[in-house]
Amino acid sequence: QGMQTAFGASDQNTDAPIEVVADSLEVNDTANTAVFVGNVEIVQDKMRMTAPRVEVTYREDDASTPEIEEGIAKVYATGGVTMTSGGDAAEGETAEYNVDSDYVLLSGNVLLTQGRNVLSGNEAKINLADNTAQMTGRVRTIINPGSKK
Amino acid sequence: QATQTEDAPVYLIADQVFLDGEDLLVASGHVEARQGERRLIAEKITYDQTSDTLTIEGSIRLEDGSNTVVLADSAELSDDMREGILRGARLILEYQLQMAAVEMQRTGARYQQLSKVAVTSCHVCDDGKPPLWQIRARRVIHDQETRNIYFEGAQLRVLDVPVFYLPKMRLPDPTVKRARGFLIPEIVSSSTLGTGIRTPYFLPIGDHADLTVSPLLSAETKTVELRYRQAFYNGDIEINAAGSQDTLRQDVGRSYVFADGKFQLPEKFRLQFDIETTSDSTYLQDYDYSSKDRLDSALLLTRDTRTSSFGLGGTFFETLRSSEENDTQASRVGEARYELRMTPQAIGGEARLGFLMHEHVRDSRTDIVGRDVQRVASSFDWRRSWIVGNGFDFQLLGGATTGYFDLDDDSTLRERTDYTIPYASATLRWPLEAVGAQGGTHLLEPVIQLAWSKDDTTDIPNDESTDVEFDSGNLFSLSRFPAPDQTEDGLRANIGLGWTRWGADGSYSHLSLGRVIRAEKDNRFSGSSGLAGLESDWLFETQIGQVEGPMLTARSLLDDHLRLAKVEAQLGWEFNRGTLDATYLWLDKDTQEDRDSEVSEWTLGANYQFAEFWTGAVEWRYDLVDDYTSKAGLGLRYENECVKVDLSASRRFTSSDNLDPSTTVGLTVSLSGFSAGRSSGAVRQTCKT
Amino acid sequence: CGLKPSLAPGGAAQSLFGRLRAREPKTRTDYLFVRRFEERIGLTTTGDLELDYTLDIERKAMGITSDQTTSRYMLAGKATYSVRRTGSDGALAHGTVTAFTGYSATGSTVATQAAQTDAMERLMTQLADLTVARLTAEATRLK
Repeated sequence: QGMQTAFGASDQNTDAPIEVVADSLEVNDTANTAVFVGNVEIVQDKMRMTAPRVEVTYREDDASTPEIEEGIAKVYATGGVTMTSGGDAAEGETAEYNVDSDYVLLSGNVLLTQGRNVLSGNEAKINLADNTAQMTGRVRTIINPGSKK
Repeated sequence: QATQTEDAPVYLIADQVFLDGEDLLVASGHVEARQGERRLIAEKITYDQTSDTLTIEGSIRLEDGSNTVVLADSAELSDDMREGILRGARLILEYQLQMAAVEMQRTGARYQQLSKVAVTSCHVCDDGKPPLWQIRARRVIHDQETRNIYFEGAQLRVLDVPVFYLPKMRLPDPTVKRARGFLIPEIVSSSTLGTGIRTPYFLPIGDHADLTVSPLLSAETKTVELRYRQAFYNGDIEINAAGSQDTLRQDVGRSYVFADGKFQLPEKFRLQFDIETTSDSTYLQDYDYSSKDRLDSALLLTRDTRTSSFGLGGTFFETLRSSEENDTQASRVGEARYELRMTPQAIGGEARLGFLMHEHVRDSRTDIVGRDVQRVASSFDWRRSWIVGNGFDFQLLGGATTGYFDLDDDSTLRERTDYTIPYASATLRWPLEAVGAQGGTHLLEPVIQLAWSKDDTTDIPNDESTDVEFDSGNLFSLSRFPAPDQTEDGLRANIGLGWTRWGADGSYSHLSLGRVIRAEKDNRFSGSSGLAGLESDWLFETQIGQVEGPMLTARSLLDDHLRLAKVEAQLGWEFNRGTLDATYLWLDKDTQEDRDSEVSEWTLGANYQFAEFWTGAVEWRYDLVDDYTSKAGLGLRYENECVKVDLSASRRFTSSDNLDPSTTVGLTVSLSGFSAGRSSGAVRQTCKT
Repeated sequence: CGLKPSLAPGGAAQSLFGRLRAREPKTRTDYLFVRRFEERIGLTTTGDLELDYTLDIERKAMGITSDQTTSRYMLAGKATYSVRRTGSDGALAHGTVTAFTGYSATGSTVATQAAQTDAMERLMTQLADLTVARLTAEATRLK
């Protein structure tokens, strides 16, 4: 019975580059943000997120730390987000991925399938690095005992 | 059924759920988990999916569909909640029997093992006061399959005082209806049998029969009592018997058997039988099995519909009275009867056709005293009512009965006597109604009947009609003799007046008077029957009380000087806290009715719940002629949700040559919550907060 | 106080005559009760009212002599009745009537047996008459 992780692939590389694909893009240089609209798809290593609208915030170019090259600091997806990672899936109305803290915060009718179990609640805080998830608000869980015995 | 729910998903609801990498799911905050019929409530549940265990904390409550509830402080259970350990556990069976234990282990769906246990069905208050009774045990195993509770090192404590110790004990749990085993023992002490203990043992036999064996051992007697019951598809039988070796009759074993049964046969036939026999005349009385002084064993086949009634049967009598001998008493009686009711269209009214065949035999061959009787009779009559004039109910009745009498061992009647008796009557009834001032309803009903019959038979001895009664049940019947060996004769008028008032407040009162006026005297009627002479005594009947409450019913005969000749009265009252039933009887001396002294007697039976858990009962029979109590009894019951204590004491003062007066005291203590001593959902104690 | 004939037109007993049909008897006591009931309230097969009844009879030993012989018995009877319209099951009227009869047990065994059978028949006559009287008094409810 394989190493079933709490959520997402265990070997997720949270430092891998984030690739974003969308129908259209608006860039706002001054605020360092970009808004992708229409079938937006965000991929980072084994984690994949889709949503109708995603607002990406880029990291400030910091002259004093030239070695950190330009990158995404925060991804904020709205309008119904689905997220899959290593066979587990989660969905919610909005999702905020803070890349540095490795946390994805899903909120609004969150539904999370983890292995054989299905959880639903108001909010889920998923840590992609250590594969944990914390759900809050009257959480309903359906645990399907596998054919273990 | 277990397998089906085993794979059922577990539904979990909680304020927070935390998923940890190693398949750990931690639910906390008002957690409720459901699987199939099992339901678990706790503060925190940690579900480890690799080892499939639940670690549970905080005021746990586990219900598993049957009426079993488990409470605990913490627990480690398998994910199907069937296996594991609960700490600070309380197991409650049928919401009645509570087992509090330091630790409880569930193994498979079957066993629940508790250690350092206190078992009680009493309401336990948190004020630290001990329950009325509890059983403390080192270990208790509840087998949910055989539904037995096994105790190890069991100690019964009453108000925390150790009373009784048993290394091993087995008791059926409350869900068991028919478990093999000991029922509640009864301590019995009587002046004739000494002090003893009756320990009934119940043995179910299949699904439809059971046997209860109750040995009764005391200084004076070694007795075994048996009760066998069996239910069939269309009937049931019950046999009660006992055998004794006692000091009252050293030389011989004593016994009795009472069996009865009834069966519903096709085509509306019913078969009933009862057998009553005993070894000696005072055995039933000595052991208080029955107060019957004449035993009758009978087999009876009957069929009854709206328009017909059929009966065929035989009875065997055995007298236990010291004043009677069996061979001069009719011991074997056979009877066949049939009656058909018809409604002839042409002439209207109702026609009745009847047949009656009867035979009774006395073993003795001596003349008169050993008389045997065979009689056959058939009867046909027709009656019709008309409403005439201003609300008069006029009824005409005419008919005849014909048959024959044949006697053996009786020289007064050489050979068979045939007879034909025509009879007729005309009855006028005029019911009047009125609505009283306060909305009450009145009914006044005068009735006058002219009756005639012609009975020429004079030589048939009165063998079965020695006791003639006179009441509103036969004021207007054509022959008040109970058996056809005598029939009323000649012209007579039966008059009656009845008045009844129903109050709007539910009060009820009834008064009726009746009298028989004859053209010629009939000296076959005894003095105390009230029917002797040209004018009978006045029949006086009254009923006073509440329609749904206490009711006094009384009947008496007043002679012309308005002197009472006979009085019978009964008071019945059922109220929410108990019942009262009293009777009074006064009969004058009358040798024609074999009553050589006056009879005057009060009886009183009452039970009353005088306090929340206490019910008292009293029984009293007082003989006013000899001015002594013939029987008195007291009963006291304490019953709450977990114990029933019955204390009874009674004394019988009557005696005969081999029957002495006796006092009997009985005590039973039954702990409710085990199927042997079930509490009837009695009043539950409440905690004094 | 305004007595008027109950069997005259408009009277309570008249309004019941020939309308009540008693339940089919199952036992001898049922038979005796129904026979008397139908004699008093009119035999009918097309009545629009149905009477259901339960008869409880208790035999009490009385007149216990000093040598513990039972010289008298009392048959205490109770008839519990309910009336409903044929086809519907709401009870229009219901109640209980009680009566008792007595018989002596000082005669021979067959005399006592005959006395008991006669006492049972008289008791059923009384219970049927009391039921008819009670229904007449409640006739307004059985319109």
